[in-house]
Amino acid sequence: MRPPVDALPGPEAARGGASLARLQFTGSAAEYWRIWVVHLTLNVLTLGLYSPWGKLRKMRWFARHTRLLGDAFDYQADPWRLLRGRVLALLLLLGYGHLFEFSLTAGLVFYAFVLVLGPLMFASAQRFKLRASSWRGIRFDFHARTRQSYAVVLPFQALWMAPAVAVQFTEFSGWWWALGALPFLLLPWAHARFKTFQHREASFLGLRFQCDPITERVYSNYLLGLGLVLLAGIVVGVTGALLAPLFEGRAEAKGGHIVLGSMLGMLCFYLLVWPMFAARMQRVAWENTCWANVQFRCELDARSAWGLLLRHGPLLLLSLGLWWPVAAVAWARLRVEAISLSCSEDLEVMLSAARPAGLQQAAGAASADAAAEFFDLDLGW
Amino acid sequence: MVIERWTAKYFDGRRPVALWVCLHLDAEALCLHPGGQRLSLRALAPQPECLAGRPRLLLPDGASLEIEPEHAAAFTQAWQGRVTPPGWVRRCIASWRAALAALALLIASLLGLDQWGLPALAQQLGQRLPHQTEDRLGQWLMAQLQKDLLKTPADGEPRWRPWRAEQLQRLQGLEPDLMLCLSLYQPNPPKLMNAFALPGGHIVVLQPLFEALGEDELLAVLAHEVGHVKHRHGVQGLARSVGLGMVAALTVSDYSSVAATFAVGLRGLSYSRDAEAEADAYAHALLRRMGKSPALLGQALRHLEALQAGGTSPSWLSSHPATEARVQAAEQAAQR
Repeated sequence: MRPPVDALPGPEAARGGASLARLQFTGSAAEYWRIWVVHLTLNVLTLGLYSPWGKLRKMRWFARHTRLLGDAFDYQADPWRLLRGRVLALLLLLGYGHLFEFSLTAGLVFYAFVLVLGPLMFASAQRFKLRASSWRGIRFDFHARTRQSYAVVLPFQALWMAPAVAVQFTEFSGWWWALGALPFLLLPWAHARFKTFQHREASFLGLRFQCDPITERVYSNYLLGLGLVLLAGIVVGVTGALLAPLFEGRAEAKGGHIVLGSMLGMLCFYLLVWPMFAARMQRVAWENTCWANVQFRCELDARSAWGLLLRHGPLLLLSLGLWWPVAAVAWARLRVEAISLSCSEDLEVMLSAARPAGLQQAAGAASADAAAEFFDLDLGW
Repeated sequence: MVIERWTAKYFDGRRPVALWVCLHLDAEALCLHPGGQRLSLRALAPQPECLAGRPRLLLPDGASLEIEPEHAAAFTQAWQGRVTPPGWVRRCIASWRAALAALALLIASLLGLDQWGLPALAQQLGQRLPHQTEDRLGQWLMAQLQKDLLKTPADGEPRWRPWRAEQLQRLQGLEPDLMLCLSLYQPNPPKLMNAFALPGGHIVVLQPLFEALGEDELLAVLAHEVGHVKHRHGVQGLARSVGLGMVAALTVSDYSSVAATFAVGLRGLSYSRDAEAEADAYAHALLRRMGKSPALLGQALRHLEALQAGGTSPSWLSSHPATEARVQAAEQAAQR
């Protein structure tokens, strides 16, 4: 019954027994546009109740159009669980956005709640996502134990939320601002730990992914991002100062250019800083990751992310958002096809020799503490 | 009859290696060769979406099949004809005509929700909410504001008490159902010139405004705030913004949360402009019933704008309609 291995679409053979395989993306923007519009309509008509089914089909569509060595990934999950996660996430989101507007105590209680439950929820969402994903009929897994999740996710969350909490206690002036900014110095460290944790706890065929420490490179990413923010700030400031005389004396001027300035700032951030930062973070994380003797490579760079934004951004605006699915497919293609795998031996030979380790069942059972299992659902977003 | 056969890759669910198999359908089962495995169609039928990308079947024992591309179309046809017909969502996705119809429906339902659905919901809530609950919400918001913006009460102001007593008495006669509570505060920052209404009929006047406007102008501003109380804009606004946020979160944020946030923000401001216009219209009518001219509101607004000297943003970015438009509306109301 076994076919000859040679008959399979093999990886591009590099020198000797080594091989290199690139991820491929085969989805078409036209098909995704139809999926998107039908889902959106159903979501609106059902006031969002349809969204788990829509999300599932969307995830499956992207997974099945992502191919490695000629075979597609897959995404299979229970939509009812997705719905449960969605309701929870919605409540959290509402609380996050609005509680401080109502009362300080309620806001603080909520933050404490997020801090306590956050790591648990992150781990279970990650587990849900990886267990739903498979390649060649084999599901991925996520093994993080509760204690580990807290040790890694808690500092990241706390640092991220610190400024928002600090602002509630301090006046908007002077040294307090500097103090409020202090936690940001540690943010890259926590972010790097978080990223490596995410990769290290994942497994395929019972074998863990490995990830080298990336702290230094994450710091340099943050520094570069901060540099760009400052540069953009200077450019906007100087332009504003040069243009100010033109608006002098007009009734609309005063509030007008404050609003305009802050909008320009946001625009600069999303157009200039974010694509570079996201691309470099992905690159750093993947380039330091390996599985068995497979090393991942990632060629995503800021220039191609900016290029994508330049090409699709204007169309997105002109079409009032209807261009979104086309841009999403282009972004998926860029991200997926930037990743390649290199192996010191032939990948197919290596995979056919691989035996599923016992780790999968054993660790799965061990880490399935009751609390984590209770939240074993996807939080969406 | 010729039996149709298709080739597929078989994954056993334990090893990441493909085996080639040949498939055909008989009356009750899907048959795999070699091996002669027969899989009951009844057990296979509820396939979650076997057709996205290349056709793929999940088998009960954790194994799966992926049909080869050259056989995909033929297999799809046979499977849909004999085992699972495509669901209607799947059929919509496959056709441009259906997708465009969905787009038209989407635009229509978003407009409907925005124009009638949410406002009607908010209004219902505004009317159903017991006054006690609304009052408690207002008191509690007041307590929050007293921590910062309204740190210093300005009850000592000599003109205030007689003015308040007079206005309350006058309003009692015109709107006996409204429970109103007027208070004067010295704001922080101190030059803020404003008046506002909170849920439950709490109307706050800031001292700089009280000092700057003439008696009749103050009356017009008060009439506008009473309009907010009458229409229960506080509770309605809260309900609308929560509703809008939920709709956006559930519908759009799967695709872009940034876009969702922007849309909610802009739409919220436009709701607020509608509420201001509604309060203005109420003020025109109330002023007339008091035997005054609605043009007073226009006069007050113009006076306020002159005092504040600039500082407006484009109208679509503002919580209030442009002053000029409000003044014109007041003057038109006066001519009627």
